[in-house]
Amino acid sequence: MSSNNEKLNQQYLKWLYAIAQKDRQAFQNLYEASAGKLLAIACKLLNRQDLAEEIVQDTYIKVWHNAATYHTERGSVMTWLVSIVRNRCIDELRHQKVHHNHSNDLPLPADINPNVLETATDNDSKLYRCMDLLQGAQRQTIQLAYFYGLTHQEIMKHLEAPLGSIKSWIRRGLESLKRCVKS
Amino acid sequence: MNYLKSELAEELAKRYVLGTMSAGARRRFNQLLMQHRSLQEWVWQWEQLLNPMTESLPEITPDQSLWQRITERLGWQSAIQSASQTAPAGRLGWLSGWITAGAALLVAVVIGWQSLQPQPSITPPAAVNAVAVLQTELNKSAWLLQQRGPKVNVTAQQVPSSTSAQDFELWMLPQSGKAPISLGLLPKKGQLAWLKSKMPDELFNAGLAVSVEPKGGSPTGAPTGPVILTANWITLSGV
Repeated sequence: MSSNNEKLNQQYLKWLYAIAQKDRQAFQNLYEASAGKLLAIACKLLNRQDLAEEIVQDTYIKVWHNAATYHTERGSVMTWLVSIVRNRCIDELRHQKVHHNHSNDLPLPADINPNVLETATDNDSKLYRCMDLLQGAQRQTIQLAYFYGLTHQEIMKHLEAPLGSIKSWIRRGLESLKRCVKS
Repeated sequence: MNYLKSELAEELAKRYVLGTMSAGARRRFNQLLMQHRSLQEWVWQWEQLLNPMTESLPEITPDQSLWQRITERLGWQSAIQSASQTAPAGRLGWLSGWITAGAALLVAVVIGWQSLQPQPSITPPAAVNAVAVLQTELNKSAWLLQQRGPKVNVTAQQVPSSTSAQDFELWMLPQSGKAPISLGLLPKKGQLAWLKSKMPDELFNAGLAVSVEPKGGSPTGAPTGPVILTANWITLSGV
């Protein structure tokens, strides 16, 4: 974690401890600092702002009631918040079948060899440098799953590639990513 | 299948965090997560590895109404508080003795009672449209849920004993057999109101269950403690 992220996490931790003591101001501070990011994640996954807002709303309610259950073993506070939002969004995608909303939004197979992540080129974190080192197909399939919540089958249809290849690209991509980030 | 074998555990955790699992596989994995700490740890590792990817996403500033809706749901908005006061706590409290005698009797009494009330000169409180009586095995009514207009009122009655480190969490059991959905923590005394618009659409067609959870509610989003009772809604009119 970079020193800036570390400082930010320390601030989030202080708020979370205070929220566990039912401090409303700390809750509002955490909301104001993090809601924009959580809403962006939910909007990306669901491609529906109304549903995304519902899930972000549920997430903060959960944070208010369950702040004391957070543990640093789970990673940074932001990692925890992102996981709560993503899990809710993915459950929604699987149960409500809202993924078809992405039909005009997904990266095209022709874009399979971008040099860097589609969403940013100025992030110098280790993860981004490692993502940049992946093969295009590995990076693309990981992004389609992570940002858009697609299953293996859905990625297969979108990229018109064999299921075995999709699974292999993801598996090898994740293995490479883990090795690179931990190196 | 040995889910604790590290290769399999990590593979499943990877798929879960990345998001490629089907609905059924996610449901089964969520159950396994409740049972195996080692699986949780794999999930945490992969969340810590992959979640920083979201740093790249440009933020979307939420509308002010989002914060307002959150504070309304937490009962911090004065509008909600005053609305609660117009529907006094325990308005049907005198029925509690009848409630334990059976849900059918309750329906009849509620309808009859409502029809006998004189019309107030100010805006009348909305009629009760649906009722659920959460009864323990001892046939005691522990909580009463009443859907009334835009709200679902929850009234604590003969609540089972618990420690200060425990809370009671209410779950909706979808007819489709999907995983239980948390509706919130039940009060140990008094009454609280939830906004109907914030509850799942299929709430009144679903079953209900109450589990004992650590203080603050289930840490996993699924029931982790013993389920002490289940119940169904009784619909009095369209909800």
